[in-house]
Amino acid sequence: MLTQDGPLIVQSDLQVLLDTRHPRAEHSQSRLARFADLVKRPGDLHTYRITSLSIWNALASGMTAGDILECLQSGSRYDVPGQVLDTLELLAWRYGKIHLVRKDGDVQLVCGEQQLAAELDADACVRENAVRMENGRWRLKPGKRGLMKQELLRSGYPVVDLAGYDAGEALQVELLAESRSGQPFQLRDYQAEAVELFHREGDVYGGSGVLVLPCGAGKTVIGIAALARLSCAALILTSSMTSVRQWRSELLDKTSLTPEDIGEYAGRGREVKPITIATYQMVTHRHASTGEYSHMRLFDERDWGLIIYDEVHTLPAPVFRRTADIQATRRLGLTATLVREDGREEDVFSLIGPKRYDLPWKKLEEQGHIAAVTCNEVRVALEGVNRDRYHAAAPRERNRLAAENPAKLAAVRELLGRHPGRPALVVGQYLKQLGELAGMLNAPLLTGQTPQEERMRLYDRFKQGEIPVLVVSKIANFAVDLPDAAVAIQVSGSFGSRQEEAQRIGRLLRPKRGDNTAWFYTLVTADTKETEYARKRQLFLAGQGYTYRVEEEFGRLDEHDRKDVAGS
Amino acid sequence: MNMRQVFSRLPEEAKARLGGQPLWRSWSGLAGGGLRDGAIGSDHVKESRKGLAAPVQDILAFIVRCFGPRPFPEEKLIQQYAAAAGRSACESRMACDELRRAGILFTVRKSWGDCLHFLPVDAYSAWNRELAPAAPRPHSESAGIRVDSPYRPRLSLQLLGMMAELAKQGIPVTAKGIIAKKAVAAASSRLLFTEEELALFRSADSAAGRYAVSFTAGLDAAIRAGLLKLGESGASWGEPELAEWLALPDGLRECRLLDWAEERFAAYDERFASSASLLRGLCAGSWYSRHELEKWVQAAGAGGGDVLTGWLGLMEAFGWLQTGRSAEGLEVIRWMMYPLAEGLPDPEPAAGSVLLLTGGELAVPHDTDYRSRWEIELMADLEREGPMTIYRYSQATISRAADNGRTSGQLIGLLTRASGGPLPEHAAQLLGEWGRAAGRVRFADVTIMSCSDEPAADRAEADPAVARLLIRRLGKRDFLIERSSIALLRKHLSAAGLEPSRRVEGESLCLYPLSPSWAEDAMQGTCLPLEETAAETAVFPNHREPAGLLQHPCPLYLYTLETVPADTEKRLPGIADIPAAWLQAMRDYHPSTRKEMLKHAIELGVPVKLDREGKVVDFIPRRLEEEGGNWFVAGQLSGQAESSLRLSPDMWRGMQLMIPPGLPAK
Repeated sequence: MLTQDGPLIVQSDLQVLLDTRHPRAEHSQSRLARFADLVKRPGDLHTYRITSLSIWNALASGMTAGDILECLQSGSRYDVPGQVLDTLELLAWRYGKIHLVRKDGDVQLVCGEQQLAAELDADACVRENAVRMENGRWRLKPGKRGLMKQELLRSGYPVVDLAGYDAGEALQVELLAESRSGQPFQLRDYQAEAVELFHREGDVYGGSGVLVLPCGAGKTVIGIAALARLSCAALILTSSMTSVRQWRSELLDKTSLTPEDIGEYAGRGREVKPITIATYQMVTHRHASTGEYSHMRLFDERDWGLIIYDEVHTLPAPVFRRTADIQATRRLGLTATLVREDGREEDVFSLIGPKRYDLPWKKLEEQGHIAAVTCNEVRVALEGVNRDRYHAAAPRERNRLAAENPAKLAAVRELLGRHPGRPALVVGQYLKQLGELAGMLNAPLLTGQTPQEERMRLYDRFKQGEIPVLVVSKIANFAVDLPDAAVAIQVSGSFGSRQEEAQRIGRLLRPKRGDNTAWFYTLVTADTKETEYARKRQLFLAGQGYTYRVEEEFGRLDEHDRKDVAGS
Repeated sequence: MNMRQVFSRLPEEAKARLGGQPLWRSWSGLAGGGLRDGAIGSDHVKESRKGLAAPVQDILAFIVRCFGPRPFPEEKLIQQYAAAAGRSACESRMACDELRRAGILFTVRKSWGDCLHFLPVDAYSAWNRELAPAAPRPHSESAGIRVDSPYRPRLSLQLLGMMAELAKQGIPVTAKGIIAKKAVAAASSRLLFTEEELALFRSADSAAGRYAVSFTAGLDAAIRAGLLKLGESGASWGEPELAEWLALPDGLRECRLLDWAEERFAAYDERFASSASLLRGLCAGSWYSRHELEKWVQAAGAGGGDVLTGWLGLMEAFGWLQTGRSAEGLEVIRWMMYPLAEGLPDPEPAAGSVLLLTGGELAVPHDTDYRSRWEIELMADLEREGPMTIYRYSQATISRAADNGRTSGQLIGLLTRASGGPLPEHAAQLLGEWGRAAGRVRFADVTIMSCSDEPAADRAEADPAVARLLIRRLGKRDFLIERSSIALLRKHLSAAGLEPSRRVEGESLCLYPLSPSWAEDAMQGTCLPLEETAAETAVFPNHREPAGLLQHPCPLYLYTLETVPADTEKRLPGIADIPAAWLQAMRDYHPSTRKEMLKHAIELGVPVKLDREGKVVDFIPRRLEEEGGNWFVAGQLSGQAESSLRLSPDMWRGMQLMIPPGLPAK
């Protein structure tokens, strides 16, 4: 086959492989990442996928169809299949054909393409939610802006929303040059870049979108910076009470806002202030008798100038629906991964906004903005009577027996001993095991039952270095702000959950003082199903370029010890 | 039949005689050249052509154009050619004999005595290119051409995949002697050409019955190359041939497959044969206007657009050719391989190096050495095919490799060589772990379950689901079991982390053939030494290529090759009865004598000289006609095919019978 010299291999299914060994790989990668989503980057061959969304996101960011085709053709090692080029051209052609504009006080749907306008005329959603004014122009019925965008996108036509935004209630918000905790504060360049790409100097092409950055990259800071840019009242939605507290803490630490400016709408709190922080759980809480989402009114409580959707990949469906009604408000989504289990990425695009920024994990690590994590899989032997019990047990019970392998306790102790003085987390699934560990290590145990105040107190003490080790249950999976955890030991996990593994490692990624290094250990009982689950769990991170070193034979007994255990 | 097959059937004296002919003098079969030169080159053809007299070149061109590589009876040729060229039958036969003496045209005799002439298919292909009008130039604007063809692996890769799937299954053959359906389905999935793409070609008709047409074609290619043998007793691998095939330079391997395709699909129809051979003369990698090619092929007499379309479609289906369009919308095509062996560059070691990704994935570029690829096909499953093909190895695939005799050390060695460097830790760890687990339990025969060590046996016995199926423990490592329990035991043992071997000792399945290891210097980047097998040496008198599955409507290999050109004297039967005077000088004869002379001339197929109004012309009489009590002779002027005369005896004066040069005169 005829071969050209390039780092890209473009497959007919719109996957693009990037060979990082090639001298031009970096140049191609920076362009490719603008119109293709990174799927995985295990080793030297990175996999990207081009989708209609990724193309439209690229066009929304200012790239042209010509740029995209040129990047592929000039960087490709083999011929770019013609149907790939045809598909990209078609997708690019569709972008920008349909606009929403504001005119004479109305939001109007405009399409200059004659054939397409005829199709829209016949479209049921357009007929139901808009009034035809003239050829290629419709006046939207009130409150239908979001729905129209959603439905037309589903039909394969992205809508460019140029109808602008309501400014919202003004609120003076400034970033401090020195945080209230006494540290100099400045946005890192990638954070500033992300804010710029979102804001776009206030023009109609900016002001809504999603920013994708790894755990530990400072998404909260970016959200705050965007808020300061807009200086308006804002509603912040996030995934847990702990996150609510973290947002509050960061806002007070890094901006000119005072406690009176910030309200918490979560748990027992119902404060609606110029900056209001709520949980998804709260706004989607249904009244027991009426079945209503009574807290959804929060979206209308104030004249919000900005709504921030933290962990937007977890956005619940009712919030999607409500968001469809508030398209005149600026919207910012933050996440470490824009992949949804329910496949509603298109809705994120149409209702929140296009992806404005996407930064791979390893790239941030190379730049030193997140810690360099060494990942280790430690194989722990299952010996003696425990082994016999495992083999005799039913399959479901075997998972627990492998996870609760008693030999893991000694392994945890030894691993902690490798990192004296480093703040460490021990994370697991089974409370009984965690309880034993906490007892053995003389460390506090945090579970879902731990009151919020107690949690915050323990977090503070951990941050201060008063507590060297924290034993935590699954609550560690969610937004836990532990900036100085340098070691995490996972004693058990939820089957093959890649997201859980990524989230737990994410607890280590915040940059550290000194060598900016962290260690992640996952304890896996050898010769059991746990090894298989471990392999699955590691796939996402392997795709991000992380490799696991395997330590075998941990805790294997010699003949003398084996006899002892067999006899017990 | 091709040149090699013809040569192998000739007796020694005929071979020696051929060696003196320009066409054969340089052919590697005689010269003892390497595998690269196993084809007839354009230079050989040009030299041979120079040595042919004009009438001989003329009849050759006619044969090439009208019969192609199809066999034909001599009389049919003479009838059509003599009239078309304005030559006498005898002159035509003479020219035919010249072609046979030159080793260009060959003859077979059927068992009941009929003879057929033919051009060996590869020789025909070369002659067609030589005699055709000049090929069009490549399209000048190659930038901006958009490729329309979807990716298709080249045929050799498709065949490799097909064979790998058969090999993994052990080529199971049913009691009726056909390959089991499951194996056929798996193997067929690797062939990306369809029944529709083969439908135009007559040989495809012969494939109907046992297997789908596509699979039959794939099998045929493998059988014809000696890679696979199918017989009444089952199937087996041609291991030396397979080793050689895997080690071939990519270009040569593909070229030989193109020879096969030309022979199997084009040779039955002179229009396809002509299109196929002409297209081979185009430059590899250059874009050509389809419209220009169509005009060229039609000018060369190869038939209409459908023929070219059909052949291009087949070439595209075999991954050898791409179609595209220029910026102006012009349809263009290009070869993705070197279509002629003489155009092949010097062979270089395969450059592609395998990438080992996490999660057991292997990224294998298209130009990876086939010997590595063969082993990768065993040790991993195909995930996605493309210019960079992705495979994934797993416990199950490593066990499969172990069942076929590969150790984890060998697999690590293979991947180290194929990737050009030490394995990443994650890969070495996985391979080691899975290799150790593989085959820890074996089924030695239908009633014994055998473990590799006592701990494995203890572990098996401790598992309740396994223990229920064990009849009795024999010693430290073995158990008695029911044969019917094997499938269930496999499942439970696998769940217990004891990956059992898939093989049962005593079953007669073919092991996956081992890819040959290659020489040290190959790893250091020097050219691969090309091996010659007995089949490729210069003289192999008993060589018979396997017949394959696609049948020729006229299988020449069934007939006896006529090696001695016809006795020249027998070309003029009855010459002895002709008065010498008729041959020696121009004379004026009585009309009845004239008639007699013409009758003999027609029977002998010779021309006559006629004196017409003081001008002597060479006339070829074709037939005598009677009308109103008078007789006439119809014929042509010699060398003037468009002329047509009907003469009465009073239209000339003197006449003389002509014996063509080269025949004995009286």
